[in-house]
Amino acid sequence: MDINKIKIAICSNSDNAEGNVSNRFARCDFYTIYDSKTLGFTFVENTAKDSVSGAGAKAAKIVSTLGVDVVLVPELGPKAFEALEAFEIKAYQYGNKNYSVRDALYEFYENKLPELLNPSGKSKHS
Amino acid sequence: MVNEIAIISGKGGTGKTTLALCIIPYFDSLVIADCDVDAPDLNILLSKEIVETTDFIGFQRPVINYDDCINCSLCHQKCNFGAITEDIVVKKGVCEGCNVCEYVCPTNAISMVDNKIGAIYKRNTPFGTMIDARLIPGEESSGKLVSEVRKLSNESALQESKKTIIIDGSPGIACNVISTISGVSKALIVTEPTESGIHDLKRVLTLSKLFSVQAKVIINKYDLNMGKTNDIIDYCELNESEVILKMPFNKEIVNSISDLKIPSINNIDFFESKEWLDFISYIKKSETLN
Amino acid sequence: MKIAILSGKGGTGKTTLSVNLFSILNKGVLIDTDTEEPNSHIFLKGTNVSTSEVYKNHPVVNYEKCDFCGNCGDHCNFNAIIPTKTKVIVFEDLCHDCGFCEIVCPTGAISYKQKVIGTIHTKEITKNKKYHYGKLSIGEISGVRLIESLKEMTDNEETLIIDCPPGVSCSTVAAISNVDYAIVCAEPTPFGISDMKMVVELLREEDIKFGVVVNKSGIGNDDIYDYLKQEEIPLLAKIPFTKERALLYSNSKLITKYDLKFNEIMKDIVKITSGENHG
Repeated sequence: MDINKIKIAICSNSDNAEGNVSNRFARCDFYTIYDSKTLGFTFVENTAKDSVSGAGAKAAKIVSTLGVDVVLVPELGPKAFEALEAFEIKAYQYGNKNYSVRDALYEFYENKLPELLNPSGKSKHS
Repeated sequence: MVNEIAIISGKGGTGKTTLALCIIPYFDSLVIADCDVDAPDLNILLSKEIVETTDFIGFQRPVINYDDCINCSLCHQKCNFGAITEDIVVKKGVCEGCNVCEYVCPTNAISMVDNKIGAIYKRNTPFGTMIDARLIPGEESSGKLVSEVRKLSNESALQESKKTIIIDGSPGIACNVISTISGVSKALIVTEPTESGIHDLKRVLTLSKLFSVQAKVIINKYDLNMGKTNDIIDYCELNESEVILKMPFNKEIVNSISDLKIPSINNIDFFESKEWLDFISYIKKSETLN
Repeated sequence: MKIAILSGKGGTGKTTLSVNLFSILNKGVLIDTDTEEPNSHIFLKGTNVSTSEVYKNHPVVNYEKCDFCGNCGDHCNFNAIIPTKTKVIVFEDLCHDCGFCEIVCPTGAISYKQKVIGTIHTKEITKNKKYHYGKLSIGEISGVRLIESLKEMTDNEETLIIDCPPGVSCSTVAAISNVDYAIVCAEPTPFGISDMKMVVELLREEDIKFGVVVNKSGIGNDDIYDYLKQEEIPLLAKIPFTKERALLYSNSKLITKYDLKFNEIMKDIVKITSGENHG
């Protein structure tokens, strides 16, 4: 993976790169998409947010249709994890940090975010 | 991390809500979540003061436009839930909101509309913010409503920097209970010394294990049947759990609830006992641990 | 006559009332629809007649036929089937078994696989009396399918007593479908009243005739009687709380066999409710 040719999605609370990262993957308000080829940001509203059931799996599907290679997440439930893996999207974890989307991106490029190799907890069945 | 303590029981009416009420006054940094959305009762003693009400929308429901309906009966045939009758009437309580009827209708006579299945309340109580919810009687997907109460109470705890969430659960072992216990730090199972109580305890303990939740057992009204109480203690020992509290049958506790007073702060001897205070320090231990 | 016995709150005495009413009948059938925590069998005992399994379907994909068009995923409202470019993931526990994925699959790649979600047990007490109870497998999210099976099995019974699950959600709705009368079992405490109100709301919505039995009378207070009077809801009986009854219950005994007064109360309830049928 050439980290200068990839698209990265970051779970966000707003459509602003200076806004805070979200503490939820499936039910965050926006995905901020950073394209390392063009160095540009785009913001996509998360339509999985209001799913009554299976929001995690749906969110994975949404980021896959955005052509993303990597997602930066607080944590991942087992269903979101399994779906992202199937879409061949790698997840890196910023955990419960409360900082800006741009900060998370810096940390990713500084190799400070660990890759998530296992889902974070037991499933909430919805 | 917020410390989440869920109070559950397989069998209903063993005293979950009463126990929740009794332990609440001992926590200084607390959010309360009433996840018994079929029968939410904590608010009766804690607070009538609603700060915020949010409608909870479940899966969409079909509405039939009879002007366009040609009575082809495809929607009735294709519905796996029997939610559309032969004479093309939607049965509300059984529809699961899959949208198949809308898709198979050849004349587009069916449209799916939002459906409110309950409401979620945020309240102020003397002991901290409380989130509770009420399912509209007869509605489906109460597990989802429980998840939403959990989510909002977590958000409140995070915003207000509270350390503990006490969750009052519902009876049973299905979706409501699974949503109540998944991911909690600790579960307290309230049971009673009856054959039914033991039968139901076994099932809910197995469920806790399946979801990797550490569960401790409380026997309420233990003195009503000492034989059964001992059976429960033995069973727990054999099954990697433990009875951490035995509460006697006490009319004062029932009367206190009837007077809308929290029993543990209403001058009842039992709550001065060493057993009770040890139990409180046990459940509070995890508060400082994190 | 089909009678449902229910309560919003758990532990108010649904099962006690159901099995004891059943015990004084000469013939009839009882079903225990509290599939999460069935208890009737603990009291009724009897001999095993049969056990059957209840299934739920979930989709499986035949990769020889699948062309990864993504239709199944686009239509599933529960996000239970997620197609990627190379495989299709199915989350069994999210699947509601609605059949949509099969309907929209253009290549016929989807078929269904059965999974056991619980069992139904039938026991006989005498020649003319038997009962069925459903037992949901632990970890399953809904007992509605089991309840529907129990109801189908007993659709033609003349005398049927239905021990319902607590609460007012979909399982209770399934349990009370097509009943002639409902008995609400409530206890005279603030929680009991609050939970009973939710059941009353449900029964009125479903247009089912009902009356209330106040169990454990003597504990709590009198607010419940004021409420019943105000709402013009018939009070069928008051069953006083006694330690002896609690002890009999805890040892899974039928109270009618030991307690004459209790036996009389059960007879009265049967009389009133069967009168309802003709009137």
